[in-house]
Amino acid sequence: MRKQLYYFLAISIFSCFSCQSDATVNKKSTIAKETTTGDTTTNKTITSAGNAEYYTISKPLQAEERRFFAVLKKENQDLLFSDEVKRFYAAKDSSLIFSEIVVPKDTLLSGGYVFYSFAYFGEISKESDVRITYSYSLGQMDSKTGSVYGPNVNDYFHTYTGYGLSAKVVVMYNNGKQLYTKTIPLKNN
Amino acid sequence: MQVGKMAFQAGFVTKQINIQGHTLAEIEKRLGFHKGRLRNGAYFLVAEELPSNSGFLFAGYTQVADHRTAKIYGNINDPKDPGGDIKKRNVKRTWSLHGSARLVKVVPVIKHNEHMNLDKQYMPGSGIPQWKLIKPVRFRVESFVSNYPSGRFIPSQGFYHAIGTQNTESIYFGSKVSAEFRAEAQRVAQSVDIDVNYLMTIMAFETAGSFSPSQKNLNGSSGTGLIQFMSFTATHLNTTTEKLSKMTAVEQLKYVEKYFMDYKGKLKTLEDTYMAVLYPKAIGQSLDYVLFTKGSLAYTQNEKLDADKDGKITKKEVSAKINAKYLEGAKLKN
Repeated sequence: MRKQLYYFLAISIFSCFSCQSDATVNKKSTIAKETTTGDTTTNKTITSAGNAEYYTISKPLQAEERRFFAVLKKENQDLLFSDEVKRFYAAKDSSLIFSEIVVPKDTLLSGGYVFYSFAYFGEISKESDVRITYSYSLGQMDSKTGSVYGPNVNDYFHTYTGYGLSAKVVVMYNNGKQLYTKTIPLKNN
Repeated sequence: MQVGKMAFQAGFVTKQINIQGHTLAEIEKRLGFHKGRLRNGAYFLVAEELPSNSGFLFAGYTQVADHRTAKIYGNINDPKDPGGDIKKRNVKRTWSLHGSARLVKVVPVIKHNEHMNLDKQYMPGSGIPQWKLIKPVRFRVESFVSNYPSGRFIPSQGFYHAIGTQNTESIYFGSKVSAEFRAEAQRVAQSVDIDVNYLMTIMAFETAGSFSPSQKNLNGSSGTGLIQFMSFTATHLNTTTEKLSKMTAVEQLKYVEKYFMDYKGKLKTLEDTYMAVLYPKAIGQSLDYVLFTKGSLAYTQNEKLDADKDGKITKKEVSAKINAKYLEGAKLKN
């Protein structure tokens, strides 16, 4: 029951975030100080997303995250990851709310991607209830949205939908095994 | 000074209509700057608020420079003149915050030269009305024009309304859209460095010939408007498909411009211009370039485009319909 409640909360927070994602990226209201400790850069940036404000910390991709994402990439080869991960906190010293992969700018446009977004809730390193959500566009012929539920690489569901000019395709994986693929022709084709 | 940013400015202004569409060399003559003053370019600022009656002075016409105003015109700003406020109110009625009646301030990169003779520095202009702001007014930096002497001041609004249909070239599908749309499409094409006929053809294809900003994708996807902006793409452009669908076609062209701007200089053929919308990875590739092969998900998503059913979708196959549309466009010129 507690687990279900957690999922519900995570999804609710995501719903709120996803409709404000532009604001998250663009409205940095305060940058107080930057400190670096080891491989972690604390920007102490308050980033506005609608009415919500977050502290962000840049911390590179962790080993567990890298392992999990490598498995997902086998299931969707267009997924991009970089070492740069921005982590969002409600307040200093509070628990992590969500993280965003920051892809290199040269990946976009000249690299073929018109748009790319990859965010996840929960901490993969702690094998908590994790929800990953992504969307990207390589143009009208190939755009995808996907989500992943699960605490770790051995226990997850990954589903995504690809959109092209003549059909959309829904794909589902569970723990590395493809469960389902459905091609739905688009109208007028 | 940065284009798009706000700036508070005082000093001399004129109305946009007096200098719009003209080259820097011509604007120099009109305003009475010495030859070469605009050779390093100039910023064009448009007023976002109008001055109060006490915030500006009459300054006659540009054939009379500031240092000669009193000598030539006398005391035209006499504070004791009982009709002064009425005159100012009347002139303010001819100003606007929109279109070609906006107040414009030209800020040359080359600054005023303290050591240069004023008569040589500010020669008689060709006589367009001017006013002098004595209290700073909020402006927006509309554009920066370089390429002296031929660079032109093309404002974002008002100009094409003024020139109407007679000055817009005949373009593909021109008979399907308004004169204002044609003019704006030409401006956008020039701005992003693509052939306007390619741009018109793509918009005609993507909207099934309607050129409607609210055209929904006939296949049921989230595609909307002139180039079928997907919801992802709209996010990238800091808007939404809903907002885009509520714009006029001319307004939406600014987002078409924003979209293509990322590919400026790379779109020299109709096929490449179309690839910027369909699959940017294929820009610059030959027509034999294989976009997707059978077995990939992307191939399944676009299988109907594999015309020869050889298991490969090539750039040529994808571009076949747009080429046919281009030929159709030639018959629908304005």
